[in-house]
Amino acid sequence: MAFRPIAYAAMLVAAIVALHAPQAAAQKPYTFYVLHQRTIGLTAQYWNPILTYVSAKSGVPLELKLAKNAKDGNAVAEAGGFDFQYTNHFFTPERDRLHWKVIARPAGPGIRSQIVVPVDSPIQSLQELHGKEVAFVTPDGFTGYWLPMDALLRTKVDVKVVFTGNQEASSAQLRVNKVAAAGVNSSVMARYGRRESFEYRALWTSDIYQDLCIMANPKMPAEKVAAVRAALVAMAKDPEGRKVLQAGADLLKSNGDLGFVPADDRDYDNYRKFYKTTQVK
Amino acid sequence: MMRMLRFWKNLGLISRLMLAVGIAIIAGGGVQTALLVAEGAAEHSARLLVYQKETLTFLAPLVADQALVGDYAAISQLLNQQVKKGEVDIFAWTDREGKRIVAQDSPDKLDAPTWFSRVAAIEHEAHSVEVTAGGVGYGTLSANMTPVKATNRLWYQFVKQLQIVAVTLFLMLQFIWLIFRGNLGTLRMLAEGANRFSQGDHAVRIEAEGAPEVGLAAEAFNNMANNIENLIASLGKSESKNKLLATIVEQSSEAIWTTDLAGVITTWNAGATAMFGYEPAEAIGRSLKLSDSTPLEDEARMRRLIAGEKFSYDARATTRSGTPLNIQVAVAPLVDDANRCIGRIAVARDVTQHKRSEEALRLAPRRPKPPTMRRARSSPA
Repeated sequence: MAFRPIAYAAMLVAAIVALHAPQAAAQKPYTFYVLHQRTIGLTAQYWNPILTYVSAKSGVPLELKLAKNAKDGNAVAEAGGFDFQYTNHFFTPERDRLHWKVIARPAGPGIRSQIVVPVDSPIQSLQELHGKEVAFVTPDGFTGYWLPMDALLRTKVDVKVVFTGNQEASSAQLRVNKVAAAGVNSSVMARYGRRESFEYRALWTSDIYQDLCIMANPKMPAEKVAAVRAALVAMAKDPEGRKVLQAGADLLKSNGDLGFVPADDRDYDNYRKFYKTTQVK
Repeated sequence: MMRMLRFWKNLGLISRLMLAVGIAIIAGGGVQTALLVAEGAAEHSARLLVYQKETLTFLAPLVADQALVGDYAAISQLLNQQVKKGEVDIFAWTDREGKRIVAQDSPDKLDAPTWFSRVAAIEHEAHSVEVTAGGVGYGTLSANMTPVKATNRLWYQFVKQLQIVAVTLFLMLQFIWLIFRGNLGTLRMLAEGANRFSQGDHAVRIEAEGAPEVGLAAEAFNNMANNIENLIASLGKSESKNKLLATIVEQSSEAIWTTDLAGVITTWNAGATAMFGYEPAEAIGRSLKLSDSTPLEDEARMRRLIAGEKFSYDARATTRSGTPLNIQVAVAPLVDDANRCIGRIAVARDVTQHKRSEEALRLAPRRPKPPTMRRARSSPA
């Protein structure tokens, strides 16, 4: 039942594609990599209607690309294998030098990292996590590894690191008590908690950072990038686009702002600053 | 048809019953088995279809995940693992570029004979689902089921059903034979006993075996035999008595004869022949005028007899040769089994000489009694 709005949105978008952008179908699609924070299936159900809509509106055909894990996806992106990507892994000093261009980000106040435990857990402080297993996303995860691990290192708490692959996998492991705590993206965790009726408690919360952003490969033609950016930004104001976004929000049980807003590299300077000062190696 | 009727007529009761019950059980069991097989085949077809759809529904998102990340090795591994489970024969994944991955299970061994798999054919066909995510198609996943396992299961059910029918048939025939063997033995003994009884063996009796109804029949036969035997014995005694009486009558020196109510002689003994000179052949069936009684006197006597009276009278009679006789006749009513008078019995004694002596004494002069008589009378004193 939860997928029905997505299906309607997909049909709507398909109709738009057929009516408005016949040239898009004829072109070779541009690859759009999404760093998946949820399961692959859920990520595809959320992003495919958006990309179908943006393809139709921008005239730039986009094809969703997903990777088994962030490491594989980042490796392809580092090699220039994607034309666009949705990530926050490309602000490390090494990847910053690849000059991927920030073009937009999801509307909303931004994201925080949290170290969370189940609401009924006896653990009350970070110190009590010493020696315990803590779930993290991947070694590349910003809110899911770098920020929480940095906090633990600064408080001299040594934990057993368990990489789970994606944000929701960390939440799921916490839910079934396979780990004592999890380092998570606060908004992803909140949506997971609402969707799965899982109550949790935060032991630590980071400063606010901008959410993941849509980045364009520096090799992409400027007009294509501009068209995609314009379509993304205008999506929430367009009734059809809003329907797609609302269906996606319903799918993820998200009650935040809908759509995307323009963004540039400067919006992510705090990422770069963090990577320069972090104790995580 | 005629041969079958002749065959049927020649069969005994047990054989008829066993044949009829056997045909009924085989027909009923056969129909039931056929229905079970048909129903089973339909159920297996439906079950395979449901399983096929459920499997595809279950696998589609898993395949979609791997297709989304382009991990075809994982798809191949997943399909090869799944095809070994359940009753799927083949999985095929075709992506939107036409790349195809096929996973096929090693064929199952068909235990059922070929004719059975043809008769109880389990319908199955390949089904496909479009693998999509968010309205975007990534390929087609199809599955085809193997009916071999289902056919084998159906075959084992069929064999078990036949075994049940065979055991039921065997038990029914055994029970029929056991039940009717004792009862028919008694019936046979009844038939044999009746034959022997009719041939004079009145001592034959039947030992009752089997069902109460058959026992009652044997008991009834035995009661009948007892009654007839007693009756025959009684008749024998009665006959002997009658013979004795007849002999006594026949050998008696007294003239004895019987008549019906019309006076026609019905029996005539030797004494009567000697007295009246008529042979039995001459007397029996005739109404002889033996005495000088008037018809009115005869009629009056007959009325008295009919009223049940016994009496005697004197009469004058004439023999066949015309010799006159003085006879004293004692008559009694002749009655039938219902004690109704049907004639008379007459016993006559020739009293001619006695009459003459009486007449002579009556005519002789009266004389004093001789003294010897007095002496004789007084001698004991």
